[in-house]
Amino acid sequence: MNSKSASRLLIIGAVISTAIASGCDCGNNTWKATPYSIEIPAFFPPMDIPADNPMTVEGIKLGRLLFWETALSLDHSISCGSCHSPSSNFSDPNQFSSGVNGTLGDRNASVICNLGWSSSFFWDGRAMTLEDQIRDPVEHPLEMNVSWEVVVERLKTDDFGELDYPQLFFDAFGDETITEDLTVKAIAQFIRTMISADSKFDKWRRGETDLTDQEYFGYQLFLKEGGDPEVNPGGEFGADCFHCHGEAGLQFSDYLFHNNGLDPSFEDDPGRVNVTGFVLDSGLFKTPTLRNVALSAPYMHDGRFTSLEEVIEHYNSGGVSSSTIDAFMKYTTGGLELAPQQKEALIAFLHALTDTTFVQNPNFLNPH
Amino acid sequence: MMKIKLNIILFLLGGIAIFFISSCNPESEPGVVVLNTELSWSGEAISIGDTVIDYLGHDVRPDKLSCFVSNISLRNLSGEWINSESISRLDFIPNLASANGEFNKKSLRRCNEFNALRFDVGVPSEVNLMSLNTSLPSDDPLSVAGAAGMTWDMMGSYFFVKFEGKLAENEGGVIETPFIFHPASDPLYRSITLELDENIVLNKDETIEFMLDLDLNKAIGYSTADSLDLSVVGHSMGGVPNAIKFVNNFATSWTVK
Repeated sequence: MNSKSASRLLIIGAVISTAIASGCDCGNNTWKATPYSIEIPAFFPPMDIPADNPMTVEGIKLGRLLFWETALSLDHSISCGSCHSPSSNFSDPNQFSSGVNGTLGDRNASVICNLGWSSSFFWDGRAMTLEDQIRDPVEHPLEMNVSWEVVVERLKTDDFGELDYPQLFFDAFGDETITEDLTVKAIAQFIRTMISADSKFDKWRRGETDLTDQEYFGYQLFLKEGGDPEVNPGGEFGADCFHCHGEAGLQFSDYLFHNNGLDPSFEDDPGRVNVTGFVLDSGLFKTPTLRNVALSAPYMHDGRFTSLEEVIEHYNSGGVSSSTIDAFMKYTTGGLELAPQQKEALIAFLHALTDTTFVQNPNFLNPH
Repeated sequence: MMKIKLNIILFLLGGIAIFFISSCNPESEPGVVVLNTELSWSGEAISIGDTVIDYLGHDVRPDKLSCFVSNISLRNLSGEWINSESISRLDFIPNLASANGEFNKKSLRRCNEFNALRFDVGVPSEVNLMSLNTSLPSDDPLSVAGAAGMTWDMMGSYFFVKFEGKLAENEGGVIETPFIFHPASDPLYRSITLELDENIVLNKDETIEFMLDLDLNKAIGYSTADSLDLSVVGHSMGGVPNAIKFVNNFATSWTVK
């Protein structure tokens, strides 16, 4: 090989190396969204951000506008925020939410709080990603009841005053073509920013404050096994909350599905079994987070309990036996048998999970 | 002179390109051992949710079974154990679960013929720390998401096994009395060694699958001094005596099919 041929080969090599070194930065030079880096709170695990939906400042801004956009409902009467009220931990203070035309839903609206760490969505876990969860209410006949085609067309062509959705979509995604996919991606980006990590309990974990004696006593009850050891081997006279509402990752939910002894049968709402088809999943519902639980009434998948006192009393009674009731419910032995001061302490601890900076965060409120 | 300098520069650039290109070549795949495990009750295949009869005549329905399997290892013909240092979570839904162990090329180089299989039930003590789990990505079996329902926060340990179900205390009665085994903490970590009827050869880039049987009737010790009466075990967590009996039995309940 003469020196000229060698030089040519080396030039080709250099060109390849330059291409490799420059990586995949071959995008549109006229559009550049601003990357948004989630700040993970102390003691929280990493958050999974889908590779096809990286968070950007522009995406989050658009997502917030869309979350509160009534054009996502058939008659322009409701937005996502209508059933996910900030003051109620972004859930509905009503047992069942009113959809368009006043139609009532059949489950209590789930809270929107730290959903970036959730592994499934809805009470029955039928959505496996936040993006898929967001698709559902728009077309649900008891909720917003409008096709995505109509929503997309509205966002493209309707007059929203100063809001220019095609431009906002371009800012967020580099494409003025509004689609269902981009709409749910923007809302998902916004929801992933809705992080609650500044309750009194969080401050205590960070060494910034103290729990009261009553709150701390409640926390200990929360972590202890339930029942009388003479009747329930292993019992510690505790409240036995941690099995499902464990504090690993500080979300106070195992994000799994349990039957907590509400009903003897499940004809009205079979729950998880409708997703899996597995008969042992009958009557099972997803464990909700306890963050801001004092603000999240009513409680349970059907919102049957209006106060924390009622909830505690349910577990204290042992619940109602059924074929799939969770083994941890003390239905066979009469419940937890907590004394009044124990119940009060437990409720005091649950109030220590309230994070008012979260529910009052101006970045999450209606921007319209 | 200029031409020589240019050639040197081009040569260096070419070298860099070759370096980048060669670094993109994937290493050879490891040899993989897959442990597929099926459930049985005294040799009869069962699924979670089936009703079986225990040695005391109770109608028993296993409702949930999960466990951690770690350190899948192979013994070579020199008697040396090769450890994959794996950790897997097994969830029996409804009757089958699998664990994987990867053996890199180096570990297979000296001897790739094996005559025994070993694995541990539980989480090795060096990683049995709840303080670690929040830093792990969600696809790690020990992360907050990966170990959902398998953490014992109060004692800072993973549950090594979660076996829950219900039984009827009287013949033909309602299946409603719960039993719960949640063994956890380092002293309840158990190793299981299974001799192989025939030697196996594992090469890099190859996968060998074992079909194991886990006999849940053995796990309650129906024929041992450590037999368990499910109607009175209640919640046997951590290292309480019934949980210790259970892990001892559980460790003897696995066979290679």
